[in-house]
Amino acid sequence: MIDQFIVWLWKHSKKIMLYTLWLTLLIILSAYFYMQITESNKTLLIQGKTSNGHYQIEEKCDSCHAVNNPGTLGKVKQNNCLNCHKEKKRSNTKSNSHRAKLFAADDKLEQRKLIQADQCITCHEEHQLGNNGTTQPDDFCVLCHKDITQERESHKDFAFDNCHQCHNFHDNSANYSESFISKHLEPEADHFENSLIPPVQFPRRFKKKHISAALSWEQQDSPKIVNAAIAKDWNGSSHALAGVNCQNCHTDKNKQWVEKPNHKNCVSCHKMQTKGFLSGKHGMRLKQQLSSMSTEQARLPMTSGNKILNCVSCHKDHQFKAKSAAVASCLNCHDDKHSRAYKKTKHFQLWNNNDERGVSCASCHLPKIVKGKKKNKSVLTQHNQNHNLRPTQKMAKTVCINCHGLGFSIDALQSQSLIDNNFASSPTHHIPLIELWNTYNSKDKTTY
Amino acid sequence: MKLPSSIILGSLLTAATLPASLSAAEVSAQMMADAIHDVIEADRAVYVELVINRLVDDEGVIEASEEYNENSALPLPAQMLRASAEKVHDKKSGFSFSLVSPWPINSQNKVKTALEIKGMDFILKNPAKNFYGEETLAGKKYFTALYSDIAVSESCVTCHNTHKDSPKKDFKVGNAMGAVLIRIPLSK
Repeated sequence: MIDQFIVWLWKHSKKIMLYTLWLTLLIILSAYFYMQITESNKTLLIQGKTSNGHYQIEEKCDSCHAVNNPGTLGKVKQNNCLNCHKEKKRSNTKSNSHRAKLFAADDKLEQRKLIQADQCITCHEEHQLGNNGTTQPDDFCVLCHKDITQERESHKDFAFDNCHQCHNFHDNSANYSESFISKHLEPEADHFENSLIPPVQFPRRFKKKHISAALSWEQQDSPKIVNAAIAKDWNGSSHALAGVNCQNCHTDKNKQWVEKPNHKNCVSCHKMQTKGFLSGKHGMRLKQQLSSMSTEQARLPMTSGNKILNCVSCHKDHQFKAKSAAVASCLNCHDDKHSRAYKKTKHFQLWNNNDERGVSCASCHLPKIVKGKKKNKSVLTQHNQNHNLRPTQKMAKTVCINCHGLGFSIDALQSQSLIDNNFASSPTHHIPLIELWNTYNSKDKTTY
Repeated sequence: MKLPSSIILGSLLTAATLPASLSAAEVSAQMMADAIHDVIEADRAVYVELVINRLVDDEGVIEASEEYNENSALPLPAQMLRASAEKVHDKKSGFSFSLVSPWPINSQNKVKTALEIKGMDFILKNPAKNFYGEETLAGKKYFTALYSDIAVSESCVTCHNTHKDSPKKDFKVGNAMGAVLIRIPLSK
């Protein structure tokens, strides 16, 4: 019997070896993929390159995907998109005429047959293209706005694949509305004599709550021995001047000492700034409870050495000088064509000479936001730079017209070579948008 | 500013909590549509009277503008109506209302469904009457009502006649400019 078995084994040895090998491989692979699925880091399962907008948080699958329910495993939940990309209300200046919910009603069925505009994934598909993740062709506006070239004379010569040059699908504040253009109809100077960028002004409630008399070094309340360099930095800082003592930043909610405060401490006073920081590309990883963004993870060209990003990366701790945060901090990391060209520009020269017309990196990419009027007025810095990274679509209204005429601004923003040289020279090509509007406006209204 | 939406929501609540003696069958979709239309019209009239006319025309302290965000101005009455309609849409009850017209300033607000076109045609010929009908949209049955939207003041006419996107430039006070459309779901 045993002899027969041994003979059988010998005869089938090759087949048995192959089956054993196959089974072992199968077990190893299954175990490997099981581990990948159950591991918190599932990046190995990603099918393609994630878009520039999301790659920083791609390891946190459940930020977008349903991962707990086996029935919906892997599906992208619309609400997860809206958790971060909140649809602006009508009352917001950045309100969006294409709010997804507006396309969800049953009477929009015919429109949804053209394009399912109530679903983010109709236009945004991840892990496919790597760039901006949009999947619709450039001329998709034609699906719903096919008559616009006949309806508006100002648009009669425009091609549908160029709409995005002036319009942003999700952000009405980017539009050159008629009332906006009408305010800039009179020929404006290319360069204004004075900058209209307002200085920072903290809200009245902020001043009441946080700002007391300036503190001297003797009044510091650190329970530890403080080294001389830190003491010197704090003593000359805006914090000391505003009465912000050591424990205001270095303690948590339970009044326990925190050696290295982070955005969770800063937010207690700088709410709007922290919210902006966490919403932008600098802080989006922190918002998802991931580690800080680092220059090594960046897709844009960065200077050598790995640097991490948190509040004090740009606002050097204990000094908190706004001026160094506005240029030096940016150029400490950013090393692309546009950034490298900045110091050769008139913008920089003026800024470096403390001329009020000077323009820093922050003047354009982290602009001042004015809220309220009179007693309730506040001017704070927008820390979500995502709002101001698309020059042609978004920056004329929020940034350039503080110092330049609208016509000049449009000409400059539409030129890629000027974007590359950081506006070191004047635009050479004129875009007759205002002239077009004038012609269109002066027509007999009854025929239009 | 919250007055109109609160009145609308209040009226919906009232409609939902009618006296126990009135059975659900007795509250027809038409009665409900008519009641809601009354509230919408009242809200709009109140907004024009107490807010626009008082602050813009009488006291001159603020302007009303189509681009109210950009100009720190008051929204126009039609925009208030649309904003209220959006809030109601958020409730996801299936009930909706809007302003539609054959000559809308925003072409996306043109009459669309076959019943809307038929109803619009009817009320333009019979401005004193309302139009009621039933239609099926996306597999769901709806009771749809259209009410004439009459140009009640010179400002309605001036704005529509001079707006660059308006396809009709010869409205007169008293003309029907479009319709208030109310849609009530009859099935889940």
